[in-house]
Amino acid sequence: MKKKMLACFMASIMGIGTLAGMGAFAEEAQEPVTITMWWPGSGDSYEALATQLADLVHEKYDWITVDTLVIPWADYDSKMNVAFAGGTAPDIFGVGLNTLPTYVQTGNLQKMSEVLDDSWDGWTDIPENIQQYASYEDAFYGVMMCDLRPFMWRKDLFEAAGLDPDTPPANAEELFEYAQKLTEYDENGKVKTAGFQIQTSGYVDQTLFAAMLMFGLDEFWDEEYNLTIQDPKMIQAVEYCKSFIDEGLCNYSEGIATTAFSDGTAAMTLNTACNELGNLEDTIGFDNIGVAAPFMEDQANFVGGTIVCVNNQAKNMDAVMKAYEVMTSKEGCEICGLTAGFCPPRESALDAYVAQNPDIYGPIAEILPYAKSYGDKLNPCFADFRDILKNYMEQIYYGKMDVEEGLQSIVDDYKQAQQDWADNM
Amino acid sequence: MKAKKRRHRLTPYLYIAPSFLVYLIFILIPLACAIIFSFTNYKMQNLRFVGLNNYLRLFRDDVFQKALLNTLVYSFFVVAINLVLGLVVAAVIAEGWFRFGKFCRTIFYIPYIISAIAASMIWLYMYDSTDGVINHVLNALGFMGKDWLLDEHLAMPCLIFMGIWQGMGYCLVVYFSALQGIPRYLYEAAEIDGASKIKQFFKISVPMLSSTTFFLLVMTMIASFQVFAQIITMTGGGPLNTTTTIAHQVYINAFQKNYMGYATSQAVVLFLIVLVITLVFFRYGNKEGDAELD
Repeated sequence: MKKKMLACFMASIMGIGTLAGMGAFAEEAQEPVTITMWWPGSGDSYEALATQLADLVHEKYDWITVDTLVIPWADYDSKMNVAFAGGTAPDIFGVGLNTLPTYVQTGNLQKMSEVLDDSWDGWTDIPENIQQYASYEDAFYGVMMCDLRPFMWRKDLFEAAGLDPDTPPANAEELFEYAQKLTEYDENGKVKTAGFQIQTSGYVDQTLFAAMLMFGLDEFWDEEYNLTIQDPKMIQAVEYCKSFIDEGLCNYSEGIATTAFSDGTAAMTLNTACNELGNLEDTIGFDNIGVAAPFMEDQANFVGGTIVCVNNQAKNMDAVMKAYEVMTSKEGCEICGLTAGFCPPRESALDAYVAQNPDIYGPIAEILPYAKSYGDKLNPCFADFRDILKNYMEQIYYGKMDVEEGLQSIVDDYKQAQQDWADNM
Repeated sequence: MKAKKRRHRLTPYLYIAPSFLVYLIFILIPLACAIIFSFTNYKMQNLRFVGLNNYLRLFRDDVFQKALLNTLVYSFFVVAINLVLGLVVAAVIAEGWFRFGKFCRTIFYIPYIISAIAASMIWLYMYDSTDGVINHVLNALGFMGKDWLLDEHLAMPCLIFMGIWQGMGYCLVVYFSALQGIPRYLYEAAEIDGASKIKQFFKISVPMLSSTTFFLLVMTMIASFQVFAQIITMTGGGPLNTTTTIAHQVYINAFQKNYMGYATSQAVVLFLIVLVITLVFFRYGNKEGDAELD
């Protein structure tokens, strides 16, 4: 009897062992899956980012292969549009912060707040402001790899101008005074190096937003998407920006390029993304660059970024979500920070980011929780807003229109654009 | 017998079927789609009929109206100057006044075959206000450099100049070959009658080239109405929208603002303008064709 019981016991142990082994085998022998990821950007650093993220996923799940494609920003949105229309859109893709509402309207984005449960560590690891700016209409759409705008200055040019290279300006007045001292002219009196980088054309919103923050206004639009730009603080901010142009402290050629500081033709900037630091290290050298938190209230400045989103039509959603969680994990965020210079949105990944060079990257990590976007809510008419703002700000900067008249025209045209947008829905 | 007759009737259609199919698939169907989309709010996915809304919006869109004016100004100057310069230079080369006529023809033609983007980049660097070669030359000559592409009064002339540089070689080559086809005895007879070279040019060359001029007029006008690469690369439509064109606005609305329906209405307007101008040219421009000799 004892022998029988022992035999039964042994047989059941073997059975359980075999079943457990089969289970493990079943997990190991998962059907290979290939998913696709597109990332906006260009250059070796973005290629490295995409490749390393794909490798990280494959390391964790050897049955998942990620095919990556890096596409320059200039072509990115049009390629994505066409891909969605043709049913060939990638499973995982980056979306620019301000274009998120446009993508949401196409109905192709997975609401991540519906698939990431409360136990997802990102809810506590990612600052609230960054989660908020990656959300639209109360749904969270993905982890945003951040490009923050600290205050950056050229230490070598400060020294040459007789300024203390370790002390950046502390307020708007000082910024203007420093710019006067730092601006260099060629033999014809044209600006060779601008004291401060001001956008006079193209993305005028970015410098203007920094100036608004200096004067205490922190949004272009309110909760209802009504423009708030007729505030007296806004008038002060525009006049402040215009004074740099009127005084000949900036070069109009900066109007088109967004990279005057990176090109070495501006001495100070509040408008250069932290992603540029890799290039700046190669071209100007970190010894010649100072980085500090912006002097505005709460150290706030504009945050842009690439939101990592998921296609809700993805065929292998299980594999896609697994890959997504790896890509946006602490390790994934570290890769984004160390390769392409994004500020990692996860607080747990900031140590590795800062460790690259604490003097340079430390102040950037510090301002992450205070970074601001143009309004508490992302604006579905942002492309129209930016276009209208550009048209009138150019006229204001070129002296064709006075500030108040220009701001009134912006509000009027924007209301019409909102109406057109509503008609087009 | 009937079947044979029917086969005979079908044969020509079968011959043209391949090319017609290509034309149908790549030209006619997209054109029809564009016209249909221009009456909708098409955004790549959502699609709703919005009647004439997109066309009504064109009337109150200041930027579009500016783009229309800019396109007309650009086309007028580029087409007119290209035709005149092309004809004059072709006539000078054909007369053999240049020792290196063949070389000149090649040099003038090269810009036409360079990609528009590459040419735009070259001119972007040349027009650069701080490091551009044009300003360096001006400075060396004692003149002050200009903000070529950033000055509202200079940006469009700069683009027109580039358009002439790029298109003149084509007109030159076409005119040159047409000039070779004019019988020499006409010039010899005129010479015997005591006509000067200038008179020969206006009384023989120009009338004999009317069909060529008509062809070039239509072709260069269509090309100049579609100007886009130079704008997007060199000025982005600025400053103050002084260089934005209809094709540029179509791109901005379609791919930056995602208003596909509105963008197609702009494209349809561009198509109609080109169509009307071409029809007018056909109606009044080429009554006689190149003069034919009995």
